[in-house]
Amino acid sequence: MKSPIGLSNLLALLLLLFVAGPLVAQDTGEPDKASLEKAYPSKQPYSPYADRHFPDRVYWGDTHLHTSFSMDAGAFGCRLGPRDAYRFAKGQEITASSGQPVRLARPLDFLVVADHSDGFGFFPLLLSGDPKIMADPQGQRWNEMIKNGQGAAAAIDIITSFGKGAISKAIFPVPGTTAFQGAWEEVIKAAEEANNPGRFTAFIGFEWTSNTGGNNLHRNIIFRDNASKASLVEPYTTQKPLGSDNPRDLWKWMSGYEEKTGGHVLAIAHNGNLSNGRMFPLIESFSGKPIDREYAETRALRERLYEVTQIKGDGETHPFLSPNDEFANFERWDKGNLDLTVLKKPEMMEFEYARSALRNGLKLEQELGVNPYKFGMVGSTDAHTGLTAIDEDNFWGKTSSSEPSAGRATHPFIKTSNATIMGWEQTASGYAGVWATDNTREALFDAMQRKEVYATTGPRMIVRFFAGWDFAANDANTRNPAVIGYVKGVPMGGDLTQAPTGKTPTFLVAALKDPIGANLDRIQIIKGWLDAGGQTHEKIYDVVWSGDRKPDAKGKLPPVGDTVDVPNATYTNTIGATELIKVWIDPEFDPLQRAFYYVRVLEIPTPRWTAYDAKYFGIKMPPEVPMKLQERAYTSPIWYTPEK
Amino acid sequence: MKISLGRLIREPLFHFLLLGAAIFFLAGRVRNSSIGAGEKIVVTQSEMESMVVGFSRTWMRPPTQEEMQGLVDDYVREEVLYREARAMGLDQDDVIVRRRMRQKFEFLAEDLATHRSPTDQELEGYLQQHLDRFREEPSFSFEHIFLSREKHGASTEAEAKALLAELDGKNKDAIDIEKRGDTFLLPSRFEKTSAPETARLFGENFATQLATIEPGEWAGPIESSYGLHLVRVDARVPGAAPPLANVRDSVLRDLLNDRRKQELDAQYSKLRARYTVVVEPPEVPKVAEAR
Repeated sequence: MKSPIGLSNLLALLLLLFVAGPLVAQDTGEPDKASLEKAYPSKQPYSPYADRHFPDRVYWGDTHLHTSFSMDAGAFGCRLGPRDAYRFAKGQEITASSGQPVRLARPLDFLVVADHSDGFGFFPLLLSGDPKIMADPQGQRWNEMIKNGQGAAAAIDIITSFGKGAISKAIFPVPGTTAFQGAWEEVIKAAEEANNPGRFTAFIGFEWTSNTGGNNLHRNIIFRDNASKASLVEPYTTQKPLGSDNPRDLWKWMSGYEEKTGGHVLAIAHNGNLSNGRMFPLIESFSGKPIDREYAETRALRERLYEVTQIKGDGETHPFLSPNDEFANFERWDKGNLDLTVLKKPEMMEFEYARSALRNGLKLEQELGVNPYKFGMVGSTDAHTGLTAIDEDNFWGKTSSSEPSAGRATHPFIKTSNATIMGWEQTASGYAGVWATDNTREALFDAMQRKEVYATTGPRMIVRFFAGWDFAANDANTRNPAVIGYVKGVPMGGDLTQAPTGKTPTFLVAALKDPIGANLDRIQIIKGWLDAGGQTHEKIYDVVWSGDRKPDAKGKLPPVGDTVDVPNATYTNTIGATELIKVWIDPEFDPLQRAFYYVRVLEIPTPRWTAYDAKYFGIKMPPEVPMKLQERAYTSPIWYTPEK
Repeated sequence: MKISLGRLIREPLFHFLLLGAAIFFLAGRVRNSSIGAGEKIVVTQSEMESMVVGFSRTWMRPPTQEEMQGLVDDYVREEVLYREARAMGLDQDDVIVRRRMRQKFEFLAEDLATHRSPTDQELEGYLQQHLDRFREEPSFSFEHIFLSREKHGASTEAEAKALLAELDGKNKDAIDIEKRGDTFLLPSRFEKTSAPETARLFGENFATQLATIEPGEWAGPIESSYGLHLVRVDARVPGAAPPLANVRDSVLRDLLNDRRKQELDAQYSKLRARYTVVVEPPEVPKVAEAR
């Protein structure tokens, strides 16, 4: 275990020996130990800011936003393109597709416009009544529907047809066509123009939308590189023969890009909850065979993050999987797959949610030697509006047809003969917090690759999480906990191995409330482990909480309270804490068992977006509509792996 | 016998005749154009190279021998049909073709506009004209010591004042601020942090107050979203008109953007002047008259 500070000192020393050494030797003879110590004192430098290379700022962003370049977004009425999306994320006021003025409370630090690669640029063609599309009965029907104000119905038909692979080949832009290339060039250009190193990072990216049978296996692809490399390729699609719906082929494409250009890309999957048991498989749905070492290795390399929370539901865990977790029933979408063509069965869920995947990952690591599900966690919006706007009091919906209006909550969002998802079920979530040394493509990308990131359902609370063998209770009282955190431990996303004899992992965990948001209820650590019999388990520990609440006989902490005034859509920060910090020691550590630990931070209850809608539009929501919630953050885990 | 136009249009015999006439006409044009005879199609080395590049972009490998043959065959097929289609005038009424031609023309005009790089003088002039857009936000370099209300309760203000008195007049380096005050997750020191950025980290009130503090001495306490802070501002850079060197890229981008638009408009109005445009008044349908 090497802390960044220790490493940098070591590097400095090596540099001195290899570079300065010979020079010094030529002029003044061999350097002695004393002169070395003078040049590189072993004690901490006088200036506490010198020699600090760890990230001391968290950068906020959205890794997953769609614009009119996505065929379904366009069909739902989105008229904002990538350029508008970046302007909005930078904090400028713009006009939404529904004609209403909109602005963020605070700008973001970075944004990835990730439009669907399949049918890239399809919508502008469809809308303009392109002759080739009008010559096709399906294209003509959609064009008519949109012209007659049935855009939403057309969009659902487009998505469903895409899921079934039933979009006419004749009208679908594929790589190599002018429409496709043109759209990709526009996306790259918009990102290049908006990117402002040090101030705002605009990543080049796209979404690979594997959706066979309506089962969501989507991944967002993010480039570390600029246009000179990204424009050497065209986005990978799922339609044969140029593309594939199998993630293994996507990973091959990613390797191909890196080998060809010397660049770097990463992939972030999302919405396992809509995959009907296929997102985190033990048996690959494509081959029907158990996943093998190659799959595990490649997935661990290519997919280091998972988008755990977004508008189409929160994916941390599910009450069915975590019956002892009192906060598990949060903003769940569990009725079926993405297009509701197949309903959910409980046995699918184990392979859909982040926590159960982290658990199965331990099991697979035991069997295959590699953990394919060793991912960090981010939140993002997946909004199809060009607007990354998911604050509860400034929620602009999943699609342009669900931008603020009196009826958006009570109209069905998706309705099939199988089931209905109502507008109010949309989740105003989430953002990605990234601990990086600078606001640049390179620094943010590298932080994502080392998983030093966390997810929130919208609020921008600051969360620190370190693990090591020597944290002491008093470390929570130091002025700047991050210093001791990096010196004694590894940050979120890191690894503990080789437990020193008789030692137990110790954790330094801290959270600071969003400066314009609600106070904090508690910090929890969620542990998962694999026992000697090959079974996985999970346990939730309340680590530190606001006020002087005492856990009851069963260890359950009383609720923090509730100040929400639903009719007025307000709350007060008279309960909860602004800052929570604690050193926690695992009371049930077994050095022979694989384990992971991640942090969940809960805010005090606040009004849900439905309460703000009810107040603004003066409407009464049906009784089943939730009107308040406890927003939260999930950090990337830290894993403990025993020696072989 | 009177036959209305509407009835005629629905008549199958009429369709048949119309179709026949169309086929006859098209066949005639194909025969007459007969550009195929003796025409030569040369697949040049550079065209083949661009095929390889195009293929590699999609497949991320060069084509095999067979695939290359396929690409060439397809190119020839496309060229033959393209020439024939043009000879038949199939490009005339096609929305896509028209739009593409317009786009290409506009690209040309835009290229003209950006062909010559603007001089420093021009950039400077543009910057002065649009100073608002490029103005730098005020920024601060400061240190702070945090005092938690949750820890000190009602005595937080008093504690802050006592600490301030202790710090007053002390040499900057005599105090290790890392050891004073309460635990806080934000850094103790901020370098050249803009006012909006400061507001995002500490809340609006803190940023507003910070702007009023004279650099040099410890001051405060001022209230943030988290509690009280003593602050010492090292340097305050007021919002200013930036020198060109600092904003050169953005100025260049905006200037070229403007030029592109101007060039397009100028070109268009020059060309437009060559044409007389007649917009026909809408035909008034008979039914409307009767109403």
